[in-house]
Amino acid sequence: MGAPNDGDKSWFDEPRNVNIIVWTLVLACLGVMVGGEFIHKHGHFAVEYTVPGFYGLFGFVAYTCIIATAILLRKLVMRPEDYYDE
Amino acid sequence: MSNYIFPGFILIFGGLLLPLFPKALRKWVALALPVISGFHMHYLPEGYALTTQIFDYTLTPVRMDKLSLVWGYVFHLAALMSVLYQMHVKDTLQDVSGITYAGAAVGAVFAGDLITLFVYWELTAITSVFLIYANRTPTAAKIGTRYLIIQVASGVILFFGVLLWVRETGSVDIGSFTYSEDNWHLFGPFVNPETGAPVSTASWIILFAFGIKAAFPFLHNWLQDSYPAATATGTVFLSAFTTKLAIYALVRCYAGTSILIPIGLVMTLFPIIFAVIENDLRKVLAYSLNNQLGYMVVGAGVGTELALNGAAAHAFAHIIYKGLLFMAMGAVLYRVGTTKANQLGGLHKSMPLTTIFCIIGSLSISGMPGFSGFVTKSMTLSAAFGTHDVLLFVGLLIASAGVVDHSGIKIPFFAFFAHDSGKRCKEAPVNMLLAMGIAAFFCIFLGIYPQPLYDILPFEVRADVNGTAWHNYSASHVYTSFQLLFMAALAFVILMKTRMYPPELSCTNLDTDVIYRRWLKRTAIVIGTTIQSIWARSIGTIKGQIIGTVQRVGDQARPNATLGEPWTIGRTALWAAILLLFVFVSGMTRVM
Repeated sequence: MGAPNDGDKSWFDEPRNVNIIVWTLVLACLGVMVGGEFIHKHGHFAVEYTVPGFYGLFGFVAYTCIIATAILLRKLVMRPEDYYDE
Repeated sequence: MSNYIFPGFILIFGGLLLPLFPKALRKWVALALPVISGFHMHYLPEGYALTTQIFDYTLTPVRMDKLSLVWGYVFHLAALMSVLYQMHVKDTLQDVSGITYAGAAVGAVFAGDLITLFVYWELTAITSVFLIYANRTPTAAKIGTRYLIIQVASGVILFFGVLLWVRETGSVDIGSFTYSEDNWHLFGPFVNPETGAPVSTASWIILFAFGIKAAFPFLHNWLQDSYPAATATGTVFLSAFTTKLAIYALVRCYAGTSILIPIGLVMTLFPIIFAVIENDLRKVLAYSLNNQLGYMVVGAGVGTELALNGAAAHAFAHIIYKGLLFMAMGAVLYRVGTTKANQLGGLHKSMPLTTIFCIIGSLSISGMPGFSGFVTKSMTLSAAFGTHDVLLFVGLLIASAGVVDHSGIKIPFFAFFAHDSGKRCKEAPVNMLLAMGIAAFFCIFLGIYPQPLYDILPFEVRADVNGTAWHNYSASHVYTSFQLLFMAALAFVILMKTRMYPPELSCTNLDTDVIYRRWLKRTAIVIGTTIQSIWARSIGTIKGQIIGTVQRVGDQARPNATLGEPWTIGRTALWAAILLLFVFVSGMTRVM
């Protein structure tokens, strides 16, 4: 362990570059959310047709809920690392 | 008998004979075995079956059909990649264990009768445990033994079910699918086509045995317990065979069993929550594996041709990308010595190729268009959504968002990026990189050109019973997948930026294993000590009583005490006469 050397900084260590990645993702999200409305939809359930960007919204909300549930679960099941003493 | 060697025998006996080869050759022989065995299997005539008579029963040790072959091919591929990945490890035990284990799994998928299946089923347990023991630590010994007990128990339960089944039906044959009237839904031989439920008690028991190896909810925890405890290379073997053999058995015997749908759905869901808070990245992958099995179990439960094709295709692709992810984490373990997320980060600087391979595996498992997981998961999802079951629809979509977290983001992000741990190491050894490269190639190849995979699937690939062509890359499929993946990733970014994402912490998370590792253990200890103390106390009391009695008798026998008094001759003669009379009377009764 130790502080990373300045000499071996990588492209990802630059906050500016991380921002580039983040904004690319945001643009990609916008692209597929808007673009998805212009294609021929093919689904099994009504919501897939009626709610614009249904899958995207669902993914966002589901992901957030999973993390929230996980935080709650941690309160319930988290124990010290040597709990089982093995 | 046959002119052919049984599929699996080349691996099993080749593996066992491996230590006899000179050391310099051993690794090359190990590498050749899956290749030879794979070609041998490929050139066995289609529909080849072998039967033999034992007592009143007809055994079918080998039966080849398209369903078995899917697993046969991918098991050989997995064996080859795993052996290559392990080439730098100078431990023949692991080679023997891994190869015979692969052989047992191959043998099992070609078993045509339940007895043969049982034999291979147990063999996979016994051969594979050495991949855990090979760590040669007391902890590994404990975990290995737990693993072995549960695996062997699955076999024993299977055997019990088989005996009942044979008594009911008079046959040990596994049997074949029946089609429903619509010519689209199939039912396994252990399922009642009318009700979609297992046909009998025996059938339920066998399902339970399969369920242990398939890591059904509450029966799952052996997986998360043992896989992260195997050697860096051993886990790659483990991840491929046991659970997928169980999926094969479910597809083969229990296709169309309606209870598999809720079971599979729960399997896709609960592991994703545990994966979020797990610190050991190999354990995260074990939870992720459990979640992936859920899709296949759902596929088996839905039981249409598309669903079973989906389950088979997903098993195929999954073995490769899950193997790839375990290989990437194995490389990290090998070079850095840990896969604890809170001790990792920034490894892309030291292991750029491993990073790239890991990301390819992550994209595959997440179902990114262009990668194998997208192609195969679409089939299962489409078949599942075709049931128009809203709960299934919502549940599987949540599960898909969960996969993005644990395998799509968490694994590569916390190992190779995130906060730089300052750890610097060498890139993975060449053989590891080669194995990862092969897996990564298949992830991409099957993603953009899935036709070869379609060709080996058990049923003709079509979207519905009317023969509508199956299009994976319809605009709708691609866009909906992109939406789900990108927006889930965006949620991750927002949660990280706002510091809401749960930090990686050193911890143990309780799962169902707390029942036997803590509660049952403590209860057993309490019961044991209670019995011991009661025993000790009773023994003490009884001992005291006996000693007291003996002492009292002894006291009485002293000179001048009651018993110690000398007898007169007359009294002695009287007692002798009484004794003689008794002997005489008892003798007389015998004669009469």
